[in-house]
Amino acid sequence: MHNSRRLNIFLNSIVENIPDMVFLKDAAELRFVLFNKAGERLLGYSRKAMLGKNDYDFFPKKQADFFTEKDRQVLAGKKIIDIPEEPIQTKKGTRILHTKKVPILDEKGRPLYLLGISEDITEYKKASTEIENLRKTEHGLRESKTSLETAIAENKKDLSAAMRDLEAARRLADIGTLSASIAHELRNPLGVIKTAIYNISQKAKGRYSKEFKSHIDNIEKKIYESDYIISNLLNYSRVMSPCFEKVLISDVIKECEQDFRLKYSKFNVKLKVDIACLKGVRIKADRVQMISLLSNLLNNAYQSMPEKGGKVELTARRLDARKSIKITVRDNGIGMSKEEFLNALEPFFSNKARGIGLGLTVCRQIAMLHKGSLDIADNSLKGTAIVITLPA
Amino acid sequence: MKKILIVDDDREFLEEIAQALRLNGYEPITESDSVLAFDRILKAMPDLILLDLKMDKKSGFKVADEIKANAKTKKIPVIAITGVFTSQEHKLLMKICNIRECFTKPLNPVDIVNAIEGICGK
Repeated sequence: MHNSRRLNIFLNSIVENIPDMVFLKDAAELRFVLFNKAGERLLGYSRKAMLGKNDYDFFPKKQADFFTEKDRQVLAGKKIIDIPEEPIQTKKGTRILHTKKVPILDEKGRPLYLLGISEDITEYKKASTEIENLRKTEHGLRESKTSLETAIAENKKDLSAAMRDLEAARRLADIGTLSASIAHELRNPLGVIKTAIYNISQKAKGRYSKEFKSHIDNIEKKIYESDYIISNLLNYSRVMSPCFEKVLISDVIKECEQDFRLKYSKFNVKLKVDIACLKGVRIKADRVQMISLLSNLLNNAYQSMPEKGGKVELTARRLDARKSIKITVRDNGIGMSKEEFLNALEPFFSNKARGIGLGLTVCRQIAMLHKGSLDIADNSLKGTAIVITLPA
Repeated sequence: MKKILIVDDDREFLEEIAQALRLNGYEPITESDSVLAFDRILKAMPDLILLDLKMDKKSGFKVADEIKANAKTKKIPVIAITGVFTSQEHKLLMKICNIRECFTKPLNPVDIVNAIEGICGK
């Protein structure tokens, strides 16, 4: 007896000193029959107040229902139930518990008690939420850092691109000024050569051989080409602000056509113009620039012919419910790849012996000033087709 | 034979264009000094003047202005030749100076001859 009393005290003191809440409920009515110190501290009730009562005396009904249901489940199933997280209302506010409920059975296996062990994990939960938040913040910061770095890199890229553009613009402006004055200066001697050639052929009229004529033709052809280069240099260096008026586009094309026929009358070039659909169409354009654009394209077409001859076609279509027009200039010359075309748009780039690659640059500039576009048509046919679209 | 006075400070151009006019039945007179040009016009009293617009000593526009301002010369038609301007750019200035037409170098002599013929005949 003495011993069993000592054992009882010993066991009680173990239960009493376990730092988690330990409680025992009777299986029949689920009333508290045992409650330790940690339990008192956690719930804020003295064990005197607790013993003999059930959950409905301390907790809101909803919570008490939950506890009771779990308790019944444990007793009926005769198995331990682990509730990893449950909130509980205490006198000190809501706490979060990790509870294990254990059925205690009699020798016949009938449920006698329900043992509960609850660990207060509120602080732990708080800490882990904080850790989680910190982690999120850290992740966010890292992302911000990355995007900031990307933005800085992009800015740097933009800046250096802008500086490159500026430098290029400055260089082009200088080149423009220089080339304009060179172009002017060249026109004088070219004028003399042209007139001299005229005089030579007039004087030798009817007396010169086929060979002689071919020399004269070559010189004249080169004069045309030089003149073409000079015009482009001047066009390019000039500040191009279009002077818009309503222009009958078919007239402009006809003018260019006539000019082209006259210019190349001595050469074997066939020009086919099909612009029936443009009859009466007026577009907002700078007449002089339009002529420059189309003449340039026609000249380019001619330039692309390896021999002194070939075919050029100028066709027109109306697009976008008549809101724009598309003009295509196609030749059967040496052709041009998309890459060559893009290169040709770089001012002062040229891989040709002829020309210094300003023609297309000027053309595109004009098309863009007119809110239109200039592109090379994708096709595998021989030759090149340049397509311009202009708002109508 | 119609007398055509050509004013240009490029001597070779003068020589060649004079030759081209001669070949087409005109009588060319040449002047390479723009400062002396107006006196030369007064003396020669040509039927038409071919005038370079950009000359070193004195601009062709100034010469044209003198021609227009003088009662004796104001009716002489002037055709401008230029390596610098286009007719489009200086339309107004040309109108003020009473310039009938403008050709850009390198010009086609046939065009000049046709223009002269159109204005004052053969």
